[in-house]
Amino acid sequence: MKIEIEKREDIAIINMQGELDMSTVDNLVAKTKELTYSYRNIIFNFADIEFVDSTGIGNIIKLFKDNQDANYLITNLSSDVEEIFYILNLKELLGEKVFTKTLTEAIDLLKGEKKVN
Amino acid sequence: MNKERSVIVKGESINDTIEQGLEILGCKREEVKLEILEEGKKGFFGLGKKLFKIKLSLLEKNDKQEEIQIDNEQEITEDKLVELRDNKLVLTKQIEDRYPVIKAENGIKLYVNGAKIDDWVILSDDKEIRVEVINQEATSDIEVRVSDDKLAGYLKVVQKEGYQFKPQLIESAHKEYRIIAEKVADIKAPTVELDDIYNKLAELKIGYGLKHSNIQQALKEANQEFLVAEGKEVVESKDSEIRYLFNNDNESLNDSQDKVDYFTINQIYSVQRGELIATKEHQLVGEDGINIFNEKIEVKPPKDVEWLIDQDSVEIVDDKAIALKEGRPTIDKGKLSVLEIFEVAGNVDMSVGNIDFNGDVIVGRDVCDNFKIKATGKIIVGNNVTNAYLESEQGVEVKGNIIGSQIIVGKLSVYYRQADEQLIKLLDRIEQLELALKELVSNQAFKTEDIKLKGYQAVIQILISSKFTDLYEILKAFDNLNQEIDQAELFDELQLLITRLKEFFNLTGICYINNLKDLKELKDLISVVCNILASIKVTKPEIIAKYVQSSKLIASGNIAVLGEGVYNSELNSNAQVEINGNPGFFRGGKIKAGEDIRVKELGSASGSQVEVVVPKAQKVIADKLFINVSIKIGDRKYKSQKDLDRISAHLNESGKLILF
Repeated sequence: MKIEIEKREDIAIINMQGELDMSTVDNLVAKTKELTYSYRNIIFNFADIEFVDSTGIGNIIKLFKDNQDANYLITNLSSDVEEIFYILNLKELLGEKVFTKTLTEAIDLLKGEKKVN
Repeated sequence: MNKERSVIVKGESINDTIEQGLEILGCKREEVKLEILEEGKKGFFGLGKKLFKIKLSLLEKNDKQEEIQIDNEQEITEDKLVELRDNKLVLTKQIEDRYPVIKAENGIKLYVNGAKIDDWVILSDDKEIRVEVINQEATSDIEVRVSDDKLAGYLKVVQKEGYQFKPQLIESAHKEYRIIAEKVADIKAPTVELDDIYNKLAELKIGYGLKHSNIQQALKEANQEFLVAEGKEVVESKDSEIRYLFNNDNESLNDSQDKVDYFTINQIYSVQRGELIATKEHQLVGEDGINIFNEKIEVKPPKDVEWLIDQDSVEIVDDKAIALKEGRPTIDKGKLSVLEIFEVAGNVDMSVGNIDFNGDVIVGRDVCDNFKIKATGKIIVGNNVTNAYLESEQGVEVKGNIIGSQIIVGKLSVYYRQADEQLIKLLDRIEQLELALKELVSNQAFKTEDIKLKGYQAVIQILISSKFTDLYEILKAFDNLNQEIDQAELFDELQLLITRLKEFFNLTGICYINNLKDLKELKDLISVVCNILASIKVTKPEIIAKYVQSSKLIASGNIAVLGEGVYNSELNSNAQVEINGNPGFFRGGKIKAGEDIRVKELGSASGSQVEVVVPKAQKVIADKLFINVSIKIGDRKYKSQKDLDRISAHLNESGKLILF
């Protein structure tokens, strides 16, 4: 999976491309840890994510749980990936506000509110 | 020569109002002079609506005649300042002082130099004012409505007439003109042909169950809905059913006459080896339905009820249940079994010893001091039970007296009921878990390499913590129930389930299920246990005796004392308690019931202490209620201070305890 980090003022956007699975998720976790030193607002952009597995999702859940006082958002889920999140009831587990349809919405949300959850 | 006739009319639109006025005067438009006294307004939602008020005055004949003479020569009369020619407004004279103004009414559009203007327009030579009239179109349409279950299709031919208008210029006041739309002709709605309807139905793919006569009717009667297609409903299948050839003695005995007869020990229904005890009525497959789109509605296949048998005592041959042993056929813990009968001709005493038997126990005479009988079936005693202990799952009947003894029947029924509650919930969560896993794996974007490598444990853990959050609550509740009882007394499948659950779930929140096969096996095991518990729920084992003294009787089913009555004892039942013999007294002690309590004589003249407890929806009925009896219904109490006759104590609508 390719990871590209975009920084806009106090928001960091993690643009992911490819597969979020057991072989690639460690990289994501590491990069996110790096960002947490300087950024409280992070958007996980799933626009180019084609595949996920349970390990990938498990780690995302852990990331969110470990950083509850930060503002982490998820955006641009493909319909298949959104279905996976639905089966796993993640909207309830992580909170509905975490999910936005587009990157712009996510950015607006972070700019508009100081705290999301 | 001519009177000046005029009339003032009111109306919603200029056109209609003028028409009204012309009708009243009985003349044509050219013969009147118009004056608009009040402007009408359409208003919004019924507010601010105003009517047009127009004065129509008949022109004097003289004037008219003059006009006509002049008209014969000229096309244009000197009087008309403004004219409508080729849908354009023209000024016919030079304007000295006041310019005429013009406005378009409903149905007319005015274009000044190409731009549409809605308000008053000043007519002058430097403008080009074009008039456009809006016709109302006639429309035809075929509307189709389909019921939710797709078994009915309704069709309506919608036809709306249209109107053709022409612009008419009228002078409403001095140098004030209006252009109104005048109805010229009706436009008929386009014809709908039968083919159009069939084409529309074909387009929508409605092809089954067409009602041709109704379709023709819909064509004839426009704007009415008709049922034009009707599907075929599904004929439901019939599940297979097991027919038992013996009386399932879980039916309670309500008639005291039956009870007396029942005491004859020979009345126990027993079978020989090889006898037929049950048959299966075969399932019937129903019929598929067809909806109006010619799609098959699949009928649910019939369910085959499975034989649940005790393999030691029953065999299935050709879908018929045959007894392998001699004994009493019954449904024991949900399984069709033949319970063996252990008969003691005389007393249960030193020569016989204590009895712990898997089946029924029949004692010819007495059960003597300090002896115990435990039976999984029924215990029937021909005479007395003295200072002894009797425990059975299916009921105890004592023809004589019970003195100084303890009798417990259906001991585990409360536990079974509560366990069933939890296991039904558990089964639901496990089924949903299985379903969620299936959905995940079939999703195109979900990869399963990590599952193939490490198993399902991680993803199951995620699902439990995100979606099935009450799973551990249920497991803990079930575990608490199990701690209260002796698990060795439970039926095999339940014991196995308890073990499995301990293997698969750690109550601190970890699930050890790692593959789908284990999950399915667990689900199936829970299902089997729930089925057995469901059939146990139905059994209500009873205690029946003639006379009880200084004893404790506990039953999950009814307790009935048929002889003199009860002295100084405790009766505890989840169902009814009845002491209706002769004289049928309860003197001293406590009765607790889950349903009604009926006693002939409740308490004693000497005021022996009696306590009677029932839940709030139940009754305490007594022919005679003596002093010092405390009755508790729900959380309401009453203590009798004097003797009363024929009470039927219960809670009324406002929750008060009343006695009659």
